[in-house]
Amino acid sequence: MSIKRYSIPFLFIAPSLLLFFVFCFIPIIVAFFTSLTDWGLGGASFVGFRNYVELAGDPLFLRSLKNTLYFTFVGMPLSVLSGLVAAILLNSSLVKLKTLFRTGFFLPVVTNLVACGVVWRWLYNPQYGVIKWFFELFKISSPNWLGDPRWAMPSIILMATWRNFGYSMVIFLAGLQSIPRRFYEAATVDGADSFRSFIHVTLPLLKPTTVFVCIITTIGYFQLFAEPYVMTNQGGPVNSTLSIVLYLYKNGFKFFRFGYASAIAYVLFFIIFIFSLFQLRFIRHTVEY
Amino acid sequence: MKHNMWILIVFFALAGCKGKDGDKLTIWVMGAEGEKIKDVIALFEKENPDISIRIQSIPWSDAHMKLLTSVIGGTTPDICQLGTTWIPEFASMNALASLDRYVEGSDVVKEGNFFEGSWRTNIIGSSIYGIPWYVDTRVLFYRKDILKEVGYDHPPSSWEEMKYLCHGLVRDTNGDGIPERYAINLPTSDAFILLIFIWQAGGDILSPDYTNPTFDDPKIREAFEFYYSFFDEGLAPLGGTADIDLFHAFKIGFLPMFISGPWMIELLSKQVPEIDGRWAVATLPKKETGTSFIGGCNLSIFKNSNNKEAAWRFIEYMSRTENQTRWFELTGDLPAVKAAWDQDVLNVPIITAFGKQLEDARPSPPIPEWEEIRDKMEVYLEEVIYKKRSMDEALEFLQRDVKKILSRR
Repeated sequence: MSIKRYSIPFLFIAPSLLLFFVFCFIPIIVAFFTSLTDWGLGGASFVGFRNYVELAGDPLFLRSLKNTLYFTFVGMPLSVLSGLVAAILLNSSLVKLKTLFRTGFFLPVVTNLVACGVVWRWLYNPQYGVIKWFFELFKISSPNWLGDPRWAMPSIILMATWRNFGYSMVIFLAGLQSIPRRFYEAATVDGADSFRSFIHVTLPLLKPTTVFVCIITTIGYFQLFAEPYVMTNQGGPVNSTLSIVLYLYKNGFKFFRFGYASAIAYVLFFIIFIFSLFQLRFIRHTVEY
Repeated sequence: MKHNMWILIVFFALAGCKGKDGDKLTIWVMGAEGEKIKDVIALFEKENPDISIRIQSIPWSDAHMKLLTSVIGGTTPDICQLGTTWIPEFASMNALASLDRYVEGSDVVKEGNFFEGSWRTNIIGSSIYGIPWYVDTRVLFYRKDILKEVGYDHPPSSWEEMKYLCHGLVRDTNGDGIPERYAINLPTSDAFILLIFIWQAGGDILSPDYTNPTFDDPKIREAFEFYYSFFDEGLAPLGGTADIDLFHAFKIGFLPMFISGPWMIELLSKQVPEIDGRWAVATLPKKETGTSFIGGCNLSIFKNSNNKEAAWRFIEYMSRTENQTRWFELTGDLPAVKAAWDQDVLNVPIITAFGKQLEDARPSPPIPEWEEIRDKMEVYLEEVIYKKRSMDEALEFLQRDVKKILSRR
C-alpha cells in the first residue's frame, strides 16, 4: 500500500531526477576523481591530493579567492539591500506606474550577460564613457574605471548589482505580499507608526525570504565569471578581477590542466557549501507566527 | 591509467567514425574564412569529382573549446584549420595525423616552398602535423604625416631611433600631465610583443631543447626594460589601451603608431578610409636582429579521419601557388608559399613590407605548455609595468614558475 502511495510522486519527478543524475550527479563524482589525477596534455595518472596542496601555495589562486570573496561580500549585501528597497517602494501605495518599474528593474536580469558587459564597458570607457562625462559635469576627474587595478573590481560590483537586484526585488515583492494584513492592523492598533511596523512586522516576517535571497545571491556571486571575462579582458588589470571560475577556466580550457581545474572546482564547491550551511542555520531559528 | 584514458578516447573516436562515406570530407574553417572558402571548394570539387566536401564554419571565439571537446569526444572532422600555436597542443593530445609520408611523396608540398618560420610551426619532435595555409607577422603601422611633422620621413630602424622618435611624438599641449598625443599603442601586457623584443635583443626564453627556461639571461632583462620604458617614460598609455578605440585613436593621431598584423590592413581601410594613404607599414626596428613573430593558420588532418588520402589531396590543392594567390585575392590572407609573392597582386608597398618581415620571423616555442608560459609572462610583465613588483623579482619568479611548468612533463 505505502509503496504504491509513494511511487506515484516519484514517477512524476523521475524525468528531472534522471536528468539531474546523468548531467549533474555523475559529472560531479567524475570531477572529484579527476581532481585526484594530473590529467593534462600528457595523459593522466593518480596523484592523490597533490593538486589541492599545490592550490594552497598558488599565488594566483589565492588572489582569485581573495577577489571572489571581495566581490561576493561587497556585492551580495548591496544587491540584496537594493532589491529590498526597490521592493518596498514598489509595494507602497506612493509609487505610480508600478508595472513599468517592476518590468524595468527586472529587465537586466533576463538580458544576456555578455551584452550587458559590452554596454557597461562603454559606459566605463575612460575617453568617451557616459560616466566620465557625468563626473565632468561636476568638474570631478574620474579614474580609468576598468583599467585601474583599484577601481576595476568596484566597477564590476556596481554592474553586477545593477544586473541582479531586480531578481531579489521580485522575490522580496512576493514575500511582502504574503504578509497578512492583520499584522499591520494589529500594529496600528497598538500605536506603531509605519517605521516601527516595518522594523517589528515586515523585517521579521521577511526573514525566510531574506535568507533565501542571500543564499541564492551568494552562490551566484561566488561563480563570478562572465563579467570579468567580457569587461576586463579575462581578469585584468594585474589580475585584480581574476575570479575563481575564471582561473578554473584558464587552467582547464587554455592550459589543458583538467585535474588541476577540477581541484579548483571542488574547492569552490566546498566554500559555497560551507557558506550555504552557515546561512541556513539562520532559518532554523525562525519563529513561527 | 595513462593508457586506459587513451584507449577510451580512441574507442569513442572509432565509434564516432563508422558509417562514413569514403569520398566525403568534413572540413572545419574558422570565422569569415568559412564563407569565403566556398568559392575555392567549388573549384576543387570540379577538378576532383570523386570528392565532395562539407564545410563547417566555426566562430573563432568558440573554436578552441569546440576542437577540444571534439578531440575528447572523438567527433573530429577530417581536416581542420588550426592556429599555428595550437598544433603543439593537439599533436600532444595525439589527435593529429603525421603527414611525413604524404610530404615525402608530394611534388607540390615541399619544405623549401614555404616560409621557414611557418613550416617550423608544424614540426613536433621530428614529425610534421600540418601544412602552412596562410601566414601573418607583426609589423609597425605608423602615420606618415605625423612622423613627417616631427622630422621623420622614414620609419625608425633601430630601438634607439624608435625611442628617440617616440619622445618627439608625445605632446601635452595643455600641460595637465596627460598627453593629447602618445607615441605608440602598446598592449599593457602582450607576451608576443615581449617575445619579439627578447628575440631582437638576441635572447630566447627557453633552451634550444625546450627543457629549461632562460629568464636569467641579461638579454631578456633588456627586452623587459625596453617594454617597460614605453610606459615608464609616458610614451604609451597605461591600462586604458583595451578600451580605447584604436581606429579612432589612429585617425585623430592620438596614437600614431602600433604593432600589429596583416588583418589590420583591411580593417583600417574599412573603419577609417579618411586616412588612406597617410599611413604605412614597416618592418620592426632592430636591436641585434629585427625578428618578428610568425603566426597564421595551418591545415591539419585528424588521426581518426578515414579519408586521409582525399584530405591530403585537398591540402595539396590549397598549397599550389596559383591557389595561394587566389586565396590572397579573396581574403587578404598572406600566402605561406613563397612563389606566390612574385605575383603582381602582392607587389604593393604595404604587402611587400610584410613579405620582408616574413623573411625574419619566428614561431613561438612549439610546445603544448606555451599557452601557460605565455600567461605567466603576461602576468609578471603586467605587474612590473604597474610597478607592483620589481623587475628582478619578476624575472626570478618567471624563471621558477616556467621551470615548474616544464618539469610537469
